[in-house]
Amino acid sequence: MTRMLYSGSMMCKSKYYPRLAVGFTAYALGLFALNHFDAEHLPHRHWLVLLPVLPLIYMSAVIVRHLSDLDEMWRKIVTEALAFSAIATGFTCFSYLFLRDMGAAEFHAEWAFYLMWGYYFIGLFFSWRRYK
Amino acid sequence: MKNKLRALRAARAWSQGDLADKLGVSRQTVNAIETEKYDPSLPLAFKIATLFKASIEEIFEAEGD
Repeated sequence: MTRMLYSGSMMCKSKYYPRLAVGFTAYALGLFALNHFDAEHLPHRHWLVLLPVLPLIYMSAVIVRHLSDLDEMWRKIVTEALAFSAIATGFTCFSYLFLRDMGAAEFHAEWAFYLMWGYYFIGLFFSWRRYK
Repeated sequence: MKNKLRALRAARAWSQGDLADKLGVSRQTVNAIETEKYDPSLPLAFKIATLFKASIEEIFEAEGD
């Protein structure tokens, strides 16, 4: 019975950070290789972009796995923050098109990345406060 | 949802951390359940009931009941 009570959550915490570190290292190496590999004359050079992208896909899978292993209340908090981040980022990006049409600067794709993280932490703060 | 978790835990002289370890959740989750800010899932409610050797209805009471 005790065994049953202990099972089910937060089991993979110890593996999460090493796996994330492996992903980050592979990403950094992939980025380094991409920038230092002279592939200008190769016919399929666009495939080289997979060098940093594949580790990012791996890291995404690690993060999603970690999310599913979280304690149920924290999973709810993080999921709410992610939902807020996704919706707010999408609406901000879309709304910026109107500003752009009115003469604002061209939208850069990387802005969406920074926006996403900013909204995520705002959402995390407010969601966490509800259960504090 | 109202609950008697704090009283049951206190009767056994367990800290929130002790109870969290026994349930496999975080201490914050135990605190949020005790302060009735978070309603546990059905599997967690069953774990709590099993741990305290009581039925779910004896520990949790829906608002308005």
